[in-house]
Amino acid sequence: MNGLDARFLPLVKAVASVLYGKEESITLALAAFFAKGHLLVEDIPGVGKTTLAKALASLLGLEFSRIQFTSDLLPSDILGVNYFNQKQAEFIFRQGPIFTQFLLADEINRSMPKTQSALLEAMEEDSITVDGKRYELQQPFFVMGTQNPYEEVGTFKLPDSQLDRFICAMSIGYPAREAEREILAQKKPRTLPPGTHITPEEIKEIQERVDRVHLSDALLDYLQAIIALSRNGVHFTHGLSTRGALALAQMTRSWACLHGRDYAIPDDVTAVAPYVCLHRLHFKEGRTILERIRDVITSNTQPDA
Amino acid sequence: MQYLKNLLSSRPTLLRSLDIAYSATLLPLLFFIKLPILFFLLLVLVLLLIGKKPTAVTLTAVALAGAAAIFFSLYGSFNFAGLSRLKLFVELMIYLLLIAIALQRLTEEVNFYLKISPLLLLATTLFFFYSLPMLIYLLAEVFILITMLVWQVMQTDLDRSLRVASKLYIASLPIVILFFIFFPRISFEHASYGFKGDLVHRSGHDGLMHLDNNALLVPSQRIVMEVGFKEKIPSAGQLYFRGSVLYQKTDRIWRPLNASLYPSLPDLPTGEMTGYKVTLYPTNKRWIYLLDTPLMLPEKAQLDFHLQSTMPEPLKETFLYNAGSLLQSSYKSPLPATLEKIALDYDHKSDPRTQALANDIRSRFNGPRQRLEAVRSFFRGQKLTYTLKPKPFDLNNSTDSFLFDQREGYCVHFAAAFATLARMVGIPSRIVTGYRPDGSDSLGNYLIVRESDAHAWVEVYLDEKWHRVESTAFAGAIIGDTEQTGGADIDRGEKTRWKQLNLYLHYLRYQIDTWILEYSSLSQKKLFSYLKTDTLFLLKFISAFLLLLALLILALYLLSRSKCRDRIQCILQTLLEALEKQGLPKRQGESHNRYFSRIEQSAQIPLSAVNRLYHQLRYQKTVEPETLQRFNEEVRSVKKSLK
Repeated sequence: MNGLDARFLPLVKAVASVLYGKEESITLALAAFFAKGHLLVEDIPGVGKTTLAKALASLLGLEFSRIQFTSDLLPSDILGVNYFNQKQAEFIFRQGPIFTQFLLADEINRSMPKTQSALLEAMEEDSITVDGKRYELQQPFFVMGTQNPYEEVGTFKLPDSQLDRFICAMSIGYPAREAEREILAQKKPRTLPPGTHITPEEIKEIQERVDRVHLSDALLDYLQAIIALSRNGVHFTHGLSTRGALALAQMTRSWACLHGRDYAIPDDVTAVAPYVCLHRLHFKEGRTILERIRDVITSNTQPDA
Repeated sequence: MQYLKNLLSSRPTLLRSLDIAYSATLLPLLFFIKLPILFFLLLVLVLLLIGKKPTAVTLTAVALAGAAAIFFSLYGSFNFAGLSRLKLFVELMIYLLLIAIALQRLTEEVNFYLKISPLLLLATTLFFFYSLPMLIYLLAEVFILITMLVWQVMQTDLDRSLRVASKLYIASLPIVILFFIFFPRISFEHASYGFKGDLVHRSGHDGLMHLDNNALLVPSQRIVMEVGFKEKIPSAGQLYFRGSVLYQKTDRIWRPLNASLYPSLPDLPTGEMTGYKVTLYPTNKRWIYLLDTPLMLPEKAQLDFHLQSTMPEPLKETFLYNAGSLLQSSYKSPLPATLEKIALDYDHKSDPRTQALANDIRSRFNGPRQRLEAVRSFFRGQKLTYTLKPKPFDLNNSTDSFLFDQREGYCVHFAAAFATLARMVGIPSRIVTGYRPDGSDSLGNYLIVRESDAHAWVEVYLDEKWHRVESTAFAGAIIGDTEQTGGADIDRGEKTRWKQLNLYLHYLRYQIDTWILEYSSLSQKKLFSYLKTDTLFLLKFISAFLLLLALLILALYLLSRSKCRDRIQCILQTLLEALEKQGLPKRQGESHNRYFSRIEQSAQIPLSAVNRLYHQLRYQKTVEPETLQRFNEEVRSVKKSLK
C-alpha cells in the first residue's frame, strides 16, 4: 500500500544510483513529470540538480537541453530568432534551446523579468510565438527550473503568479552522511546504468493513467479542507489559487499512480501537498519590517534628549 | 427558512448571543413589569435598532427616562415602609437592573456585568411565577442560556453546542433536584429572610357569614386542603366538611356562639366510621374541617357542643391530621332552653313580608314537620335562581329582598333565608359553614378541596335531632359557573375516557403544583416527616431518585455516543478503540494508512488487509459489493486476535 509500484521502483533506483539517497526527490520529480507539470528546484548550486536532470532525461528518453540564465540573457536566446538569409532572401527561424523535451532552466531568477516571462509563457502554452508566428513545442515538454534561494543581489524575484506555473517545488538538500561518503570515495559511476528507460508510448500511457486516477468524495473533502486551511487567513498571507488547487489534485493523482493505485488516498495528498504549496504560500509574519525598524529606533534613541 | 439556516450556521457574536439570552429571560418579565418600564424598554430597543453609537447626552437622557419610568411605575405604592415588602423590593430591583442593562447594552461594551445580567433576570423571574407553563418555559430558558454559553466558549457549530449543552443539562439535573429538595425557594407566600412578606392565608371560610359584599364567596381555585380517604370517596351528597356553626345574626353578619357557653359534648352516635387523612394549608384560623358527623379528631383539637372542631392556636403552618366521621346528616342532641331561644330568634323589625308569610304558615299548619314542609314547598315555588353574581340586596331586609324581589343569590343567601324563615315558623335552626366539594376534583381516594368549594347550609332541630337541609337545592335555575348547588340533582354523568384523561392531567398538575411549584420550607418539612416515618415511602423515594439517575446516565451515554452516519467509519472506529485499549493510540495528524503501517511493523498485528480494504471502500471508484462484508470480517478477526 505504501511502496512504489513495482513498475516504477527500478526507475527510481536507477536514478538513485547516481543521486545517492534522494529517492523521495526523484519520485517527486517523476510525479511532477507524469502530472504534465513543471518542477521548480530551489537549492544552492552543487547539490545535484544537474545530475538529477540529466539522469531523469536519460531515463525518460528525452532530448535534454540546458539554459544557464544570466542577467543579460534575452528572450531570443531562449526562443530563437528570425534571421535574414541573404542567399535565399527570406527570414529563417533559428530555433532556440527551448525546442527540446527536457529543459533545465538553471537559476531562472537571475534573468530579467522579460526573459523569465518568455520561458514561463512557453511552459503554460506548450508553444512559443516569435514575430507573430506560432511554433509548437515538442511533446512531452518538461521544464526543471532552479532558483538560488540564498543570493539576494543581482536576482529578479519571480512573482507569485509566475511561480504558480510550476506544479510543485522542492529542494534536494545535502546528501546524508553515508551517501556523501560514497560520493567522496567515488565507488559508483555517476552515469545511469544502461538499459533502464521508458518509451514515449509508455510515458503517454502513464500520463493518461494519471488522469484517470479516482478522487472519491471523501478525498475531495480532504483536499478542500487543505485548500480552505490555506485560505482562512490565519497562517498564510493568501491561499492557494484555483490553479494551485488543481496542481494539488493532479500531483495527488500522479503520486497515487506511482504507488500503483487507480484511486488516491489521504496519504497521497499529505505526501505532495507540502511541495505543491512550498512556492505558493507565505507565512504571515507577526510584524512587518517597518514596524520592527520603528520599534528599534524608538526604543534605542531619545528624540527629546 | 434559508435565512434562519444562515442565522444558525454561523456562530453569533458575543453581543448577539447576549441579545438572545436577554430576549429569553425578559420574555416572562414582560407580563409582569409595569407600562412605563415597557415603554422605556421600547425606547431602548428603538435606539438599538437605529444602531448609532450613543453620545454621553443620549445615555444621560436614557438614564433619566429610566428613572422617570421607575417613578411612574411605582407611584403611589412607593414608600420606605413598602420596601420591607419583598415583592415591591424585588420589583424595584428588577427595574434598576433593566435600566443598568439598557445603558450598558447601548454602549456595546461587553463586560462581566452584561454577561451576568441574564442570570440575574432569570433569578428574579422565579419570585413571580407559580405556574406550570412558566416551569416549562424556565426549563427551556435555562437550556437556551447554557447553549448560548457553550456556543460562545467552545467556538464550534450549533449542532455540537446543542449536544454539549444537553449533556451539561442532563448531568446537572440530579444536583438540581437535590438542591431543590434541600433549599426551597423563597416565595412571597412564605417569605421570610427578614421581610414581612405578603402572607396569604387560604380562607374560603372565615368562620363568619357575611350577607353584604364581604360575603362568603371566593371563586378562587386555590387549594384549601387535600383529603386522602382510607377507602373510596363517599358520594357527593355526603361530602360536607363542617366548619363553624352560626346562630346569631347581627349587623348583616351571622356569627357563632361563644364556645364556652356549652362546653359539654352531645352523645355522639355510633356506627361505621369513615377514616381520612387531611392536609390543611395555613388558614390563620382555629377551625379545622371534618366531615359530618365527626367522631375521631386529631390530637389537641376540640369538638364542642355544636360539633365545631377547633385547634387551640390559629393554623400558621400546614396541618396534617387523621380523622374519622360517621356519614350521617342528622344526629341526636339535646337542645337546652337557652339555646332553643337563640335558635328561634330573629329580628322582628326587619323582613315584614317574610314575617307575614311565616304567620300564614303558622296559622295553616300545626306540627313543626308540616310547617317545615310548607317552608320547603314555598322555597321550591319561589323559582329562586342560583348565581354567583346576584343583584344587590336591600341589606336591612335581606330575606325579603332575596325571597320576593331579587330571587337570586348563592349558598349564603339561600341558607340565611331558609334559616330565618324556619325560625319565624318556630323551628329552631342554625347555619353551618364549611366546605362542600362536589367530588369531581378527585382521583382514586384522593380529594382536593378548593376555596371555591366553600359552602353554607342549614340545620333544623326536629324530634330531638339536628337535620341537615341543603338550602341551595331549592334553586330552580342555575346561572353561570357553579359548584355549590350541592344536593340539587346534578347529573355528574358517566366519566368518559376524555374526562378520565382530563382528571389524570389535573391530578398530575396538582402533584406538580404541590410538590414543585409550591414547594417551600413547609413542603420540605412535610416531605422529611414522611421520609422519617414511612420506611416504604423512603425506599420508594430513594429508588425513584436512583432510577432517575440511571435514566440520566443512559441519556448521557446515548448523547455522547457518536452518531453512526457512515458504516465504514463505525466499523473502523471499533478497531481503533480496540487498538487504543492495547496501548497503541493513533497519533495526532496521522493518517489511517500510516497508523496501520506503523502498528503492523511495531506491534506485529496483521493490519494490511484491513488497511487495503478500508482505503478501497473509501477511495476507490467502484467497490465490489462484498468488500464491506470482507472488511467487517477482517476487522473482527483482528479484534479477536487482539484479545
